Order: sequence, then C-alpha cells, then structure tokens
Amino acid sequence: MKDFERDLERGLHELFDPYLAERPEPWRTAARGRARTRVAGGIGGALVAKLATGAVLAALAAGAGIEAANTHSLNPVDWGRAVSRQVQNAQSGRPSSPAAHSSASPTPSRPTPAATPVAGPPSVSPPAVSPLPLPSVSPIAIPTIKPTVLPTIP
Amino acid sequence: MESSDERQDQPSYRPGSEADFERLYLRSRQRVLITLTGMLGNRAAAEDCTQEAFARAFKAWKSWRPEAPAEAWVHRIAINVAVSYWRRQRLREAGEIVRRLGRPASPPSPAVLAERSELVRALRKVPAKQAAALVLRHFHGYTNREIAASLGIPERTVASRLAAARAQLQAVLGEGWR
Repeated sequence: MKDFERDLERGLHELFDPYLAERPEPWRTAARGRARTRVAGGIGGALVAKLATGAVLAALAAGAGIEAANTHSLNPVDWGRAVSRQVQNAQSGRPSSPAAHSSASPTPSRPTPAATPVAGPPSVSPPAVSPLPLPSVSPIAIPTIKPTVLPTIP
Repeated sequence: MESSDERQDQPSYRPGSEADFERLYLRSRQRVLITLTGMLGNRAAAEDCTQEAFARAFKAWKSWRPEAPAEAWVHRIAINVAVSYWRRQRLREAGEIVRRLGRPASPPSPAVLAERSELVRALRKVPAKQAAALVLRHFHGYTNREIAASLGIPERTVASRLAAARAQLQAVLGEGWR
C-alpha cells in the first residue's frame, strides 16, 4: 500500500504541479467583470434599457404637451414658430405673451412703429374670456304621498 | 509540496473583509482548482465550479468563523458545487450514450486526450468525494482535521474513507499501473 501511495503522490504532482505555477486573476477584477456582465446581459440590462426608453419618451411627451398647451395647436410647425418668436422677443427685451402664442400665424405680432407713436413697451392685456352659458335647471316636482286609510275593526 | 505546518502558519483572516478575501482567493484558488480537476477530470468544468464556489464563498464571507481553516471552508463549498455538477454530468452522459447508440463516437480533441491521463480517468471512476479526499491528502497534504472540514464529515471517519478510496482507485488502475 505504501508503494501505491508514493506512486499516487508522484502521479498527482506530475499532473497538477503546472497548475500551481499559474497566477489567478485578482478576485476584485474577476468579481467586477462578472457583475458587469450580469447587469449588462441579464434581466438588469433589459430593465435599465426599458427605464431609459421610458424616461426619454416621457420627456418628449412632456415637452410636446407644454408646447401644445402654449400654442393651442397640435402642429409642431406652430411650436417652432412660437419658440422663434420667444427668442426674438427675448433678444429685443420684450416679454412674451400668451396672446402672442395663441395666434399661430406666420406674421409677427410686434406692432409697427407707425401704429405705436408712444415710445416704450406696449401694454399687454390678457385675452378676453367669455364664460360658457350654463343651462337652466328646472326643479323636479316631488309627488305628494297620501296616507292610506286603514279600515276600523268593530 | 507545502506542508501542513506551513499552511497552519497562514495569516489570519477577518470575516467580511474584502481585502482578506482577496488574499484567501490568491492563496487558495489554484489549489481548489486542482482538487476539482481531480474530482471532475475536466479542467474547463473545474474552472467553472471554482469560480462559482468563490462567488458563493464571497457571499457567505461575513458568516465565516475562524474556528474552521479558511481554505478548508472554501474547499467544502467548492466540493459541494463540484458534487452537484458531477451528478448533473453523469445524468447528461447517460442521456448521451442512449442518444448515440448505433453511431460511431467522434474522436476526442488532443486537448481532451491530454487531460485524460490514466490517473485522471481512474479518479473519475471513483465517487467524487473519495476523489477529493485523495487529492486533499496526497497532493495538498491536508491533515485529517482539514479533510474532515473540507468534506463535512467527522474527523474519526476520515482514515477509513481514505483507505476505502485508495483501495477503489487501486482496483480501477489495476496491477500494471506504474
């Protein structure tokens, strides 16, 4: 048996001694690499991609909603005109007005010098809003209940 | 070979310390790989199981208690991973044999032939935990206590397990070996 043990040890060393000469990759590097692969390739990756796509779509929808509300138009061309108008107003030191937004025409809303002889910024009044007529409501007639007369028992 | 005394002289580790786990990994990774290669007879599978074992050990590193030698503790995790792999592999191989009946087998690649030395082939025919015990004792020079901690068995049964494993391996190798 002792001979067999000696032969076994020699055989194992012939096989596995070269393994000991190899230097393993540091654990932190190996673990980080695996974690990154797991997040990028697994369910985590799909979730991150979905969240990013959702965030981008939500931002786009919010921007479109704000422009549609400002210009009262669903046409992106009108949104572009409104933006360029705001930029022009900002450059000339005039405040942008909701009334300017509401007209989606290509003509600028800035008054000409001939029409406004008085110098200084024009007063901006909000657009007149007429209240919606409310329908008249007539009260519903409530039926009167007559008490039933019970027969008297002699 | 590194003697048992040299291994007992190893620096102490603190449970949960990432730097200490790094040291344990660098010190014992190749030795665990050797044990698993002896058990599985396949270097690629042993590499996978070793990485899996260290990943599990890292997760459980906070709960490690210094009473058990750290390398034996990692070995125990690794041997359990390899035994699970070994069982799945045996089932797969049985399926392959049934599937290939009537067809000539494809010749193995030179790398596979090199891996399959007579000793490695014989170790594969021995139960996985017995093969692990033989590598732990006759390659790593583990004591009975360390083998018991690695295999999760009582220390008093190690000697009889080793004797049974040697007898089985000798029977598989035959008289003509060496």
